[in-house]
Amino acid sequence: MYLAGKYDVIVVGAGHAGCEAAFAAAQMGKKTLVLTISIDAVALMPCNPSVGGPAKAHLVREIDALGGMMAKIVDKAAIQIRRLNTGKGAAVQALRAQDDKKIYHKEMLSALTETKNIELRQALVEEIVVKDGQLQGVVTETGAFFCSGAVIVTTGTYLRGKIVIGETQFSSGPSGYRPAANLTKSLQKLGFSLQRFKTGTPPRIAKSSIDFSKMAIQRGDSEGRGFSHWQERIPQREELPCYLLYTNADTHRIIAENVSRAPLFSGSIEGRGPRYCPSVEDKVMRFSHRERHQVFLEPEGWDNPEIYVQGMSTSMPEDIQEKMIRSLEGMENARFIRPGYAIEYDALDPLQLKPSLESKIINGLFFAGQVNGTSGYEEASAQGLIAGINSVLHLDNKKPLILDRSQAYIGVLIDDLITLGTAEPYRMMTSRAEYRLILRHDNADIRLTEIGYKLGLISEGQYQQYLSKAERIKKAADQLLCLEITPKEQIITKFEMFGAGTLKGPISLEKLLRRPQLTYNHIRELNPSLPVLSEDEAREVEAQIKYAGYIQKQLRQIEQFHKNEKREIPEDFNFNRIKGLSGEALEKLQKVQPISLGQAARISGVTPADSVVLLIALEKLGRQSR
Amino acid sequence: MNDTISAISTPVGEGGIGIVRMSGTDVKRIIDDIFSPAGEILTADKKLVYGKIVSAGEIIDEVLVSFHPKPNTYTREDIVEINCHGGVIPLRRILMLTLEKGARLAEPGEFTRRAFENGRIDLSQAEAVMDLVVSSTNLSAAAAVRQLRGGLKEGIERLRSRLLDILAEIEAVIDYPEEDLPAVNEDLLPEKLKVISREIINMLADGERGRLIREGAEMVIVGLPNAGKSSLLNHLLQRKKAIVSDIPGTTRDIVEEDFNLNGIPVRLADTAGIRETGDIIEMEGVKLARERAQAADLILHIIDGSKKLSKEDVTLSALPQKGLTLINKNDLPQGFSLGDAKKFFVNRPPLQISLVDGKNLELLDKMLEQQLLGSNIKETEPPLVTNIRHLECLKNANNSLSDALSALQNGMPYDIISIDIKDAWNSLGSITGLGSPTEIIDHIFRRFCLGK
Repeated sequence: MYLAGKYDVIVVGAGHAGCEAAFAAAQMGKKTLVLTISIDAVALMPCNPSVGGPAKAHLVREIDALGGMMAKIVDKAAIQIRRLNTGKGAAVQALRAQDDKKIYHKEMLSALTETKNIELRQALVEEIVVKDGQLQGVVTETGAFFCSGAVIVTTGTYLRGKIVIGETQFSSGPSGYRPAANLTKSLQKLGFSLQRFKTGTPPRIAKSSIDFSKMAIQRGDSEGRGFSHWQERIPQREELPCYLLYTNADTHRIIAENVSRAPLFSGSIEGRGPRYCPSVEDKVMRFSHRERHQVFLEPEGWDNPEIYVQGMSTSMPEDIQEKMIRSLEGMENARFIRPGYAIEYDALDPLQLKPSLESKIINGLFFAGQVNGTSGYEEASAQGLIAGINSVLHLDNKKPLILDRSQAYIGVLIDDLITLGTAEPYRMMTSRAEYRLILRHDNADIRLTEIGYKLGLISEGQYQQYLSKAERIKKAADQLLCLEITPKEQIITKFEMFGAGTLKGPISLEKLLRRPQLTYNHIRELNPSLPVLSEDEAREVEAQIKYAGYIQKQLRQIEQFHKNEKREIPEDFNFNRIKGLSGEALEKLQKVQPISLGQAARISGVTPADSVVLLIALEKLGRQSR
Repeated sequence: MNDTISAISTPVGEGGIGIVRMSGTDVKRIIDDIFSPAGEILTADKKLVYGKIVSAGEIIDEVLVSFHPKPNTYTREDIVEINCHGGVIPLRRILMLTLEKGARLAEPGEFTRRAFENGRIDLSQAEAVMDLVVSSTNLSAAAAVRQLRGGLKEGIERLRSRLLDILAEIEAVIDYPEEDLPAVNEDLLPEKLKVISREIINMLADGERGRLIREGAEMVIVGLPNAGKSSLLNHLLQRKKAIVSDIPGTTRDIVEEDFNLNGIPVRLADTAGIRETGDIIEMEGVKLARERAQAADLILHIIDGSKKLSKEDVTLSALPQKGLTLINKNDLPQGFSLGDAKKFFVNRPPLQISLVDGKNLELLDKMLEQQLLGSNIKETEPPLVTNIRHLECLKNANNSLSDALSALQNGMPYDIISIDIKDAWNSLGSITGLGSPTEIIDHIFRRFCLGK
């Protein structure tokens, strides 16, 4: 073993979580080392070439509003972007991008290497070094000892990774990269408990072997709109379409006949898989009444021969996979480039983490991404950003950044993980956010940019851009409130074309905008003295006015929610000494160690009566110390 | 400051004085809304002010009200106390009225909890408070579960699961917009919500029946002087209480008595005879009688059948409450036929009786009970909803469903409608104590095949 260098922060892994963590730490001024199993696997997308969708896009927007990287790279690598849920309301509308995987990797890699304070190095970490309870650094398989005050573990699916394809099994990370075989042991020795999770991916098929002519084409429709707040339109490029087709009776028959050879059903996979990404064999067997399932063909990039077969994730034997794929219309002559596989890996029980993503056992040791039991690139990035920020705040002896459930999907994500734990890979969904109407895709910057700016992750220019946007929105909303319109002939003629009822007497512009058919720009046509707004800004104003009653209601609920969140539980609080807690509550409280009364109340098994007991004990403690 | 809570804060005893107490931000606004002082207006000087609690023009009770501004109160918040003397029924109505006006029903021990949280109780009292709050919380939880009698739990769970189905459909479509999911059928949605709402309303109506059984009904005897009101009262009470005489206008005050009608506690009030009169004392009594009749659950309108129908009886017949029209003095020659009476008295069915020879008096008891409980309900079936908190939750659920329906009508998008439906679902869930934050997501994945 030799001392190979001293750093402030070491990031173990350079996937989506690792990259964000490294950028945040480096931008906040810390000397940061990123260690990755392979330089070629930086920001790898081992599953689908897609980012976003409801809740996930919300995460990406929030990362961007805080000063993270993901949105910028997604926009650079996008081969098409679609708007989803356009008819379903402001809270749940979202973008989804198809990305060029190689460009995504290349852009993130060059961003990493160009960032001041970041060193990137290929190395396989085998041990987290802790001496007398103090974190020292990490040791690699080649005996290099890197010393640091903070370590962020972002090992994704690499920890004791095992790939399963039918009867074939081998130790491996994703996409054939090496697994991290020994780090699990080091973590266990430090006292961490891990669980075995599983996920999977479909086969990749040669583009030239597919007959696309019979498939429905799906193109982008975002008209140049991207994820990042900091550029209005992304540069125009040639778009690549996706294709939609369906499984058929033949596909289902092949699966049913060979299900005994499916590792998922034969019992050779022990890991818990997500309900959110079921394999096709799982879908066909569990929903046997369905005559067909959707399959999307997604190109993996511009100069890339591989087509990702979304909907056909599988760990069936390779020969069966070929039969399954060739049963699809237009894919009769499909040539395989990579088979689908299931991958099992070790993940941390996230109940061992604080809301800062620092571990409870070892100070300065952080965990982020799929290793914490999540699934998805977006969930990983969001945690990486928070872990990166908090590693720096930890080194600087400052209070950690904890976003609460009313501020951001990131807050919901982390609170769920560390309060409830997870028994399967966790996917973000809008239904998980109780204040969904407040956490809109469009207002991520309004919610979070101030925080990013104070941390030093948002540049002065971006901050000014945000301020003037907020200003324009406020000005427009104020004007709508105080301006009226009187139905003169000219106005009536215009108005009738909108198809939004009739105008009788004078009416305030705000009331008018509440009519479901009308947009801000309609109102502006009637009264051109209103400020010109960008699409984002106009949508924000519309949401504020159209849903005012509901927004007010949620804000009131948030006020109530904050009361209990603000009742802090000290870190060294001894739950054992409280009289009157139920046995189950005591056990759970000791395990989770909630930081607030609010978090305590969300733990399953803690009843309202237990919360009252806890409240009184806290109040007593507070008064004694006063 | 906290939101406003309200509760009946003295043990409810039959006929005793009770207090409805409110604490929180809005107490002054709420009391000003429902209280009409007789003389002095309500100020912050903690004085008891005499007046009436009025709802939509109807007088609910005469009360003494005091307003205690923060911070020198038990909870360190604004407090209003409404002292009622009219017994358990007006007490309960006043509580419900405060809830309607924006207060929230207090959790068990919540006043004490607020007192504690706001630093009103000192440290030495903390342990005692803890025991009190915990035991009352646990006790009331146990009591609430016990009260989930018969089919109520199943009924609520059935409604919850229907709402969960609707929620899962909406949420799946929102979270998986690109999946091959059945679209939410917007034409069917209002009807589905309406059906659930109707069932909740039925439960609420049934709850009203439960309330009568638990807390009793208020029944008022009205009629012209000398029609036989006091004799009727005596018959129902089986003993002499009011002075019975042949001189019209003997009963000048309201005479009240509690009795038990086949298990249902009834408070019976005999009013002064209603007739335009020059006698000042009697005028007061008549006014009181009218007010009393308006607030009653049930009216017994008694008429002297030996005379022609009077103008006053016609007026009285328009009172909307349930009850009976008793055509008394059937032992004498009648002034009008039963057939005519049936055509005329539509609010309360007529029955010919004689308090002198006892004609139809047994039938009277039976019909009374039927009127009280509603004749369409089988006697063997106990009422399902008797707990005021459950009623409150049902009402909240129904309000949320109405909100969802009007949101649908106003063209609001799914994510908004889903908020209301989720609120309704949560309100029902707080009755049965079931449900977890992941229930909707679990249901989505049980029902739909989703994911790449």
